[in-house]
Amino acid sequence: MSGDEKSKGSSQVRCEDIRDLLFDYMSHELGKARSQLVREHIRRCEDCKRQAAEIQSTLDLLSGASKQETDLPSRLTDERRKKLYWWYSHPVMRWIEKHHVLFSLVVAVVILAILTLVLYRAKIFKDRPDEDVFPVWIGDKLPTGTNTIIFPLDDGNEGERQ
Amino acid sequence: MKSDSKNRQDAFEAVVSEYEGPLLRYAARILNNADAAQDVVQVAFLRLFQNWKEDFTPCPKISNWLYRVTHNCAVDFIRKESRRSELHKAHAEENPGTAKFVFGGHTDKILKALAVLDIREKQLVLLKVFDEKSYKEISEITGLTVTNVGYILHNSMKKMAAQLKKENAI
Repeated sequence: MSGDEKSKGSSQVRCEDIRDLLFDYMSHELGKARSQLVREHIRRCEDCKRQAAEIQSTLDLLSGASKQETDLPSRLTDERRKKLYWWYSHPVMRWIEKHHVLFSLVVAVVILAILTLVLYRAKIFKDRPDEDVFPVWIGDKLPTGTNTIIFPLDDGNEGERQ
Repeated sequence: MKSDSKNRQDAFEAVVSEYEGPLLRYAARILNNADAAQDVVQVAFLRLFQNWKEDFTPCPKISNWLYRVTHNCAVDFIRKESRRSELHKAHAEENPGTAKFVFGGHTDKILKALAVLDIREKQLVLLKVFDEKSYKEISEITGLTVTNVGYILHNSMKKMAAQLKKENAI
C-alpha cells in the first residue's frame, strides 16, 4: 500500500500536502493543530516519514555546522570601525545627514556655477561677428573644390576683406 | 554639547557592537570570503548612518534593515566580482573548500550543498538555519510573504538533502 493510500485511509490528508509542511513543522513554524496533523501523518506514513528524516538530517547537519564554524569574523577591523565612527560623528557629515536635500541643491548649484565659469573662460559664449567671413586665396594656383572668392591682385586690393 | 557627543558615541557603540558580528558572519557565508564581508558590512553601516531617520538604538527594525542592506551589498559585490573575473568565479565554485572559514568537519559537503541553491534560496537558508530567524523576520528582511518564505525554504531543503544524500553525508 502506498503512502498516499494509507494516509487517505487514516487521516484524510494527502501526502503531497503534508510534505509541503515538513520543513515548517521542523522549524516550529506551524500552529498546534497543523503540527499535530503532520505528526500523526508521519507516524503512519512510511514515505513521508522517510522524507521527514532526510530533511531533519539536513537540518541537523547544517545546525551542527553553524555551531562549529571557525575563523568567521566577529568584529569589524579597528581601521574600519574608526572610519565608520569618523563618518558617524564628524560635524560636517552630521550636517549633511540632517540637510541632505539642501546639501544636494548647494552641490548642484556650485557644479553649475563652475561649469558656466569654465565655459565662459573657454570663450564658448563669446559673441561672433554678424557679417559673413569668406575664405580668400592669394596665389597663382587656385585650390580645387572650394568656394573661394578671388580678388584680382592688380586692382590695389590686398586680397583681404574685413 | 559634551553629553550629546557622548550620547552619540554610545549609540554608535551600541548599534555597531550589537550587529557587526551577525552581519559579518552572514556576509562571509554568502560571499564565502571573510575579507569581502568586512567591506560589505562597512558599507551597510555607512548607509544606515546616511539613511536612518528614526530612533538610533538597537531594535528589530534596524536589524532587519541592516540584514537587507548587507544582502544587497553582498549581491552587488558578487555581480561586480563575476563581471571582473569569470575565471576566478568558476575557480571558486569548483573549489568551495578554499573558503577562509570552515563548517566543522563537513565543510566541503555543506558548501557543495549550499552551492546548488540560487542566491535567494541561500539567503533564506542562512537566515533560517544559521541566524535562527523566524519566518516573520525573514519575511521582513526579504520583502517576501511568510508563505513564500516557507515554500522557498522547503524546496531549498529538498535540494540540499538530495545533494547531501549524493555525497553520502546523510
